[in-house]
Amino acid sequence: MKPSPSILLAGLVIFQITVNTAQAEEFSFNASAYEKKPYEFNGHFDLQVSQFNTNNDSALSNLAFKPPETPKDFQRYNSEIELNGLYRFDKSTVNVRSLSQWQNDIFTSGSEHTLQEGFWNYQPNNQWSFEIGKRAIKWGKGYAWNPVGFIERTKNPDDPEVNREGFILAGAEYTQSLPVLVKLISGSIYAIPVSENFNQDFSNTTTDTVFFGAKLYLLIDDTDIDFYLRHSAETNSDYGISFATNLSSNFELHGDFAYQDKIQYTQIPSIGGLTESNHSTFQSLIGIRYLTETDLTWIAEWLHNPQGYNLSEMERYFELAHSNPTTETADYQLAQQAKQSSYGLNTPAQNYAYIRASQKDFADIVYLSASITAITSLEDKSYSLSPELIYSGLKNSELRFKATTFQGTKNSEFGEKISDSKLEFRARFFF
Amino acid sequence: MNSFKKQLLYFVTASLVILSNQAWSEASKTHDVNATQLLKEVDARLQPSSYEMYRKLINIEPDGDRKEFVLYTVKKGKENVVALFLDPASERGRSSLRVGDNMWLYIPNVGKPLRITSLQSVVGGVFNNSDILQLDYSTEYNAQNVTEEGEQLLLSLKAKNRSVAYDQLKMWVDKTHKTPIKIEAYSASGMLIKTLHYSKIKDFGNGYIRPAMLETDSPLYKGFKSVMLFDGIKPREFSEEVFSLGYMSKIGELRE
Repeated sequence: MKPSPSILLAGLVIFQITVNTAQAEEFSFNASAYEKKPYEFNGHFDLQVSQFNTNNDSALSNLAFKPPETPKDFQRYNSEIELNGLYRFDKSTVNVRSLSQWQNDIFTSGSEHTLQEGFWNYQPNNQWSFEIGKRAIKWGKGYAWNPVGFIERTKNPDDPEVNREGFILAGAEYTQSLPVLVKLISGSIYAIPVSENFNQDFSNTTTDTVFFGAKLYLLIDDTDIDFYLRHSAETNSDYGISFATNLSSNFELHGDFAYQDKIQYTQIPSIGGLTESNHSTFQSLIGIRYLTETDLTWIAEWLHNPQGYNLSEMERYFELAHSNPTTETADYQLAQQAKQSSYGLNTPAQNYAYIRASQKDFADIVYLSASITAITSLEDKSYSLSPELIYSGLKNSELRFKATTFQGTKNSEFGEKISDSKLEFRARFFF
Repeated sequence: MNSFKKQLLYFVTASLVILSNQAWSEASKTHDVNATQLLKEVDARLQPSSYEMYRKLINIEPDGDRKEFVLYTVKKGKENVVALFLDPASERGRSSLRVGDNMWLYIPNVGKPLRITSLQSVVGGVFNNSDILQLDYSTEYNAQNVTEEGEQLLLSLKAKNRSVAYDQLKMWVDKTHKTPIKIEAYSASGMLIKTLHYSKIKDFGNGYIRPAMLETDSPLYKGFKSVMLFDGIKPREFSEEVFSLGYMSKIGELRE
């Protein structure tokens, strides 16, 4: 039976109304759902698997595995949950950030739980802000390194954006806008207690029970300028300056300069055990951020650390680390001790370069970004090279694939790493 | 023709040329003044000089897949604007600050504001920083002229300096509401970068009757479309200190 024209017409009208209603509902937005609530809760959950191809002949694999037990390769499985909580009342907020990590590889298997931040913030008005508790203060303009980070944990240039644990402190900040060349001025001061129970990281640099950190920030015309101070009554002060400015709309220049009066350095003498000495350091970092017309972002930084280990000192350390654990036990143990000292820092040598190029919408795939990062020790010409793909197209998730190769001659920093290449895959889910 | 007549003819001709040139120049100036006034009126109709606002950005892919972002934005005067991501969870807490030509991005994990460039996209897709942290059109562009096109007025705008994201804009303005209907954004080389379509005129209260939806497409993103929905636009005064690096992590506290 054929449908009558009137039924067809009625059907068409109903269909059109349905389509119109669907289109009207297609784009709807009600801001009341986003009004401020007393509580906020969010975080992320990671699953990561890594494949390491061991550099069998390297100094650090010799220290790690004691040949002939060196494996050809090994895997690492990581998982982490970061939880962020916020509670608002009056003019205050209580902020909490916890990190639970689980790791399984050839060296260790287990979990670790840390309270990375937990502090009370009181803001009586837009100019004054007071904080007390465990807080991660982040100073400086450097992307890969933080030479002026006097009251924070050291950055890992291999993953500069990873969250870092804070320190227990009390602080106050005052901000004032000005109608002159100096558009904005902001001063902050922090008191950081040191004891056996908390902030032990500073016990090497101060014998005080409390020391102070301070920062003065100025926005002068179109340039950020910061002055930093860490002062202790019993040890001398550390000073820092940083700046950042846009030379053009797509070209940014930044720099950090840090003078530290007493930094503990370990030396490997020709005879006998390790020696410790304190001396002053002056570190400088100069960097740029450049955006091309094709949306390619370049980040380049040079870290100059003249008080770091020179070529021969690094070679001496690697030669020791190549010692036979059975027949040259004393040298082998000395190298193990050196690895735990300033020789094991992220940047033990004198000059480093960091270059990263990242392309948004790689291969015309929206939400896919590709990057390649090179970190090189300029003295020995060794380097790491890391191509990386990040896809963030699926709602509240991020998939990251990263490969790294370590290249260098014998007794060079990156040539003596534990592995000569690694592959990492990380799935991160936000909630 | 005798010499006197010739001279008289030259004089009259020269006078006419000078007078017509002056008249044309005056008309042109009037045209510019009208264009400038219209652009200021467009700005005034779109939003208060200092305000808070909520926006939803929807990136629509060729296969229909969507990604949505919700932003809370506060602006003060001609130079200061800051936007905070409220959704999705992967972007929550990120904020972008603009003070004149300076722009910074705050990512909670990084924990300190980084200077960024105006054309850098913070979410992927068609929208970039300048779209998200947009100042008044009259702050960034000079109105060159205005012409009538039926029920609409066509404004030609030129960027005041090279730091502005788009070198030229063609803006079709609704005669009744004095709000934009369509904007074409061009690069300095004259290439069309994107087209913006305003629609869904809505009464936001406080005398603001303006479009509630902005659709964007770009020849650079074939098949993609971005939609921006506006809500909660209301006049609100903020202190200058809100637009500072130290405040970027606390922008969410300004919500009521």
